[in-house]
Amino acid sequence: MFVTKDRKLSTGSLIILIASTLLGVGILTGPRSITAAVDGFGGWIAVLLTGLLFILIAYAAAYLINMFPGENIILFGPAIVTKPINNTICFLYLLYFIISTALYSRNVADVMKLYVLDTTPTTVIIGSFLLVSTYTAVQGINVLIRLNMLLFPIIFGMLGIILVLNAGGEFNFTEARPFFVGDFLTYLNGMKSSLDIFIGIGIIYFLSVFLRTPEKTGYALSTGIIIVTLINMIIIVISLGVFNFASVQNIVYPTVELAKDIQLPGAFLERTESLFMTIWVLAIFNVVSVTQYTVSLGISQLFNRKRKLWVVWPLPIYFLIALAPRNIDEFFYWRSILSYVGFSFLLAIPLVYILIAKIRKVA
Amino acid sequence: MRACLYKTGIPCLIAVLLLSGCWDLQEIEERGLVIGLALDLTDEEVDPENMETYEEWKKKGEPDRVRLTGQVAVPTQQGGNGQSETESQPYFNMSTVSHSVFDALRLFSTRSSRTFTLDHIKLVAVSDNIAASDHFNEGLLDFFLRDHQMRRRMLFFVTEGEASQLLELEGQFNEIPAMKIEAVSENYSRSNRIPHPFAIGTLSDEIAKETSFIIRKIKVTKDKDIKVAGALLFDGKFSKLAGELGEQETIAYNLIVGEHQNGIITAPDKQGHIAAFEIFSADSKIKPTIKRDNISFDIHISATGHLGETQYPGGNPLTSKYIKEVEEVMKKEIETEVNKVTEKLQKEFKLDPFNLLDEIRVKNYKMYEKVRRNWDQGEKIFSDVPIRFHIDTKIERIGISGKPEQKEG
Amino acid sequence: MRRLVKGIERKVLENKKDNLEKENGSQKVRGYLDRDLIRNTDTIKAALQDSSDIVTRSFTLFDSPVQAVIMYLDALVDPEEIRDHILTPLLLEAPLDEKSMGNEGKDFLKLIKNKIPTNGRLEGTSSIDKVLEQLLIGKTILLIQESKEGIIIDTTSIAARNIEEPIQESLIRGPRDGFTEEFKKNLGLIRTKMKSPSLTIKATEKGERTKKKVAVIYDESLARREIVEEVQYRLSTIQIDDLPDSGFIEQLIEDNTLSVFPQVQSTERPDKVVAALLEGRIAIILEGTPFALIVPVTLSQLVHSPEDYYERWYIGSFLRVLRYLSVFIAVFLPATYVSLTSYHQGLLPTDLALSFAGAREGIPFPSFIEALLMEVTLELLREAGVRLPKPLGQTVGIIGGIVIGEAAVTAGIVNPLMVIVVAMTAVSNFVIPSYSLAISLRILRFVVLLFAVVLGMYGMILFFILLMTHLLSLKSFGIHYFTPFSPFTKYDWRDFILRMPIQVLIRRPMVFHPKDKVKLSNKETD
Repeated sequence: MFVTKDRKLSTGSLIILIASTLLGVGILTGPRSITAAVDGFGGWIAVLLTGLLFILIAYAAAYLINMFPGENIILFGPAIVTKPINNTICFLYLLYFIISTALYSRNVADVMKLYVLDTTPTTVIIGSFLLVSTYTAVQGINVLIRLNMLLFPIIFGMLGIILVLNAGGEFNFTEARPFFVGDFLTYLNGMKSSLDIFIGIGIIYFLSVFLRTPEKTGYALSTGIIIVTLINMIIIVISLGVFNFASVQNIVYPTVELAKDIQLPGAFLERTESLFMTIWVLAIFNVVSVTQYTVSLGISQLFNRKRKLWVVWPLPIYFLIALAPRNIDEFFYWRSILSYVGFSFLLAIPLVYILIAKIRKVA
Repeated sequence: MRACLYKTGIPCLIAVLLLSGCWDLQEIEERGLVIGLALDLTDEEVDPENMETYEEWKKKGEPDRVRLTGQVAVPTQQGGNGQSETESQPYFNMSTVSHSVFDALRLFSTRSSRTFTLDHIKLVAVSDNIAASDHFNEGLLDFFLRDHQMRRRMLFFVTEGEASQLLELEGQFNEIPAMKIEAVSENYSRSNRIPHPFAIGTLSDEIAKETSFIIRKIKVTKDKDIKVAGALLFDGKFSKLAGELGEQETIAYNLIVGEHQNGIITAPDKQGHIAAFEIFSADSKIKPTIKRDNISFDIHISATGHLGETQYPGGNPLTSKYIKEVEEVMKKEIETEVNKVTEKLQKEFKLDPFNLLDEIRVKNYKMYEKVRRNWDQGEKIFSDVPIRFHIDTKIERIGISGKPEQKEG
Repeated sequence: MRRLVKGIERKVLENKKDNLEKENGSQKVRGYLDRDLIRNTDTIKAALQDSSDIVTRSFTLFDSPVQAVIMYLDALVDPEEIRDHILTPLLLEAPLDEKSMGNEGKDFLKLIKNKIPTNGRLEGTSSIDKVLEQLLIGKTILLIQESKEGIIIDTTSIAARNIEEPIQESLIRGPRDGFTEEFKKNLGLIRTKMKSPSLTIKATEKGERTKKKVAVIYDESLARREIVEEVQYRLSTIQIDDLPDSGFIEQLIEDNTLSVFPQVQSTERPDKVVAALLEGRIAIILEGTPFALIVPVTLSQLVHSPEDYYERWYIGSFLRVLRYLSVFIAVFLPATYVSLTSYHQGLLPTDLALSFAGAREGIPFPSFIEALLMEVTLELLREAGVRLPKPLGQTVGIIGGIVIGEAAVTAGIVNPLMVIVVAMTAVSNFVIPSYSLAISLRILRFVVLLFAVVLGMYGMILFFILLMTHLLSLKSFGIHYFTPFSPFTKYDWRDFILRMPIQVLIRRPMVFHPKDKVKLSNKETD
């Protein structure tokens, strides 16, 4: 039967995949946690530094991937660190992905409950969200990429509208200044809080099988990271200017408040935060479905099972983990722990693997 | 064909899951839209429904009792058979007494068939004695800042006397008072009798930042109209009322912070004739100078306006020479005014509503770190900081009367 | 569900096998024509169950003693044709010399074949099966004593209507001819509009019992080989008794049976078919139906109308934008209304919220029941309008709509806003040029309403994602259904939401991978 074949990922689609996978994570809570971590100003520098750090990591990861073009960690790992060790690492990494994905869907439920659906049970919100994302993840990488490419302009555009309208309206330049302030220690503190924006790039270790041009992985990853870094920096600066350094730390979801602040004269809709909710759900959806796909791909390769089924089977696990945190504090605590775990995986894998590969001369 | 399971099964599952209930569904006509809220201190008895909490409260010692007045919009009735119904009041007010705002708001629901939604609140007004009470920030105001339905754009007013009066204004067009006030305050630049809109979000920002700030106080006149009656100065640290500024002082304050608000400066010219200068745009630049530990400020104010009135008897005063002269006079006048208000804030209240601290922060962060705790709190560095004013006035228009300049002789 | 589908599939496969076996078994049962004229006629008659519309007329050729018989089915032939072109020459004209008479059989037959019937199409056969087959499509068979071969003469005259304006897809500007039920005429319509030697028409017969003609039409120099082969492969798998309408073919060859979206375009307009052929797409024409099928198709093409190209580009673009908007309104408006009034009252400006609340005051139902009620009423009216005779149908639509809407409002069952919403969705739905897409959207409207009722705006977002995922994974004959939106094909955006000036549309749509990409050699402007 003739079908236009599923294509491998081009560099452009990898950029969009990475950008839209990372975008949803930081925009909601980032301004608050990062501003709190640097105690006021210079949050954008922290994000920028973190972004630069992750570009380095991305190039390291790309180097590792380039050593074995057309393969991913599950395929080339055994040659480097023997099969049992590699499989254990991969399995743990996938487990981490499962937990973090589940927590994102929990975040959706929390925010939705707070702003829009007061009395709807958390189980329903999480359940419906996970079912929809599973449906998408089942369709495979090509549909996922295309969905990302479709949603990215929507998310980007709406975010742009919110930011531009705020920058033109309530934004107070004095409140956002000074831009350059603080010492390295403060930035380090801020970087710790902004780690979780970027740790999503870990999916590349698994998705590298699909790359059409593996030699451009580093470029694609870093472009995606730069886009996300810029957006996060702008959001931080703008929320500083619209509120102030103290107020931002007080507001749980500053970006939502930004959206709430907009009032378009003569517009049909008055409270634009619902608009923002929409795009944010779309953004988180990108993260969750892509990670779900990655997990299913990893499991199918590890245990040699059918991929489509293994998108569906872990669904109860996602669901239960998502319900586990008791309140928002616990949720943030889990998230911060996970961000360190994810970061260590992300950092350790290329370093250790490249080192051992060089020593054992595998390539 | 295996994919069929996912293609049909998952949507089916979702549908089944969703069908089991519509939790948040509530029709628009079942909700009462609260448009405005007013908060007063009161001696009235707490509602009997609330006795249980009242007892608990009493054990802790009698706290302030507040009366919350809510203005609820009555939906506009569409005449079903085309006939216009007799015009009824488009709103009703209801008030409850309790110890906390949240509780008082809850009591609303016990009195009505509707559930109340706060999505549409346009304004929140508190009386000046609440603003002066110790509970202003902790407790009484907290609810307005915490609840997710509250919008940061809601207007915040402090009234002289009962705040609930504000919700009882009468409009010519059978309007809802809260919406009328909102509409009126959008025209604040037209007259200095109209209060400058102050959003509750700004209030929350100021409180979070612990800086002093100024809110216009409004008064309901006997003919049920609103009038601006000076301004209230709030202490940033404790967010409570610290003092008041008069009308002229408020104008001077506005000039210093560059917040344009319609104001008229009246002063006699060199010959002793009264001239009125109406400022329609004012701009200010605050320049901090930091030399070692010495902080000083230069504030450049440029005011543009027009000559509203001269009581020059007869003749033809509107020569460029005369205009220059008036400009000079006005400059002097403004200088005295701003110095007066600065003096008052520095020496009497020792509070800094100008946010001069922000300028230090932008200029020199290290210095800021050093002084931030002792600016207008603690050691009160602010009260000894030299502030110099540089004023520039410009008369742009002279109205429609006045002959062109003639050469003398 | 899967098991069910699988079961059906298995049965279909078994049937196919059975049919194939039957076909193989039944062949050569009837054999060939005999020398005996009487036996031949009897065999044929018997094969047709001695039906009463068989006419058998025997006569002697000219003045000779040679016996001949013509047979035809009364209802399918043109009697004048038989009289003028068969009987007259055979009985009266054509003097034959003595020699040829002496030759019993072959030469004689050849002579008749060559000279006598003045009819256009004529062929000889000796297979009884062939004879029967031809009889059933309205041809006349001439059998001659002592000859093993019969002559089939084309005398078909099928009752058919004239070419009329297409009813379903009428245009203000553009060609007014539409397909009819007649196969040949339909092919003719295409041929006259496209006089290209590379136009390829491959006809086969489908329908185990009814033997309908199906033509696959494409332009050899444009259409992608793979797609043509795919279409032919899918057509070849059809094993069915009858194909009353091209809708059967559509359902049998579409990619995803579970999708609500039509994956095959059907049209009554020859100009649309020709335009499609020139884009490198493939048309399928079935005998007995005025609806031609066009594959592959993308979603955006179902929203386009030929008029977009016939009018100037500003107008075309404006209409396009309007139509895309109407797609959104048709699907999302009732759901948006419900989620705004029942969930997110804060989203509405205060004045609007108050007038909404005022309008809904006293309505006994929640807004989604109200919406459902009105939507179902609307669907009923629409269906009633279709069933009733044409002049009455329109009246029912209008009167019913107005009366019921007005009465429902006065009775306080629905509010006037709801009536506006429902009317808006209905009107938007009528704007969509493709009827099959319009029906799909009607169904989707109910689904999204369901999502909105349960989860408000959030439900609508989830629905949107589901819809997008489905559209992105859907393919029509291997072509992505949602192009040029995604996968993004930059060139095709020239003819997507906006219709750029014709001078700019230099290439054919890239979606279908035509062999020859350029359609407009733009030497003068470049």
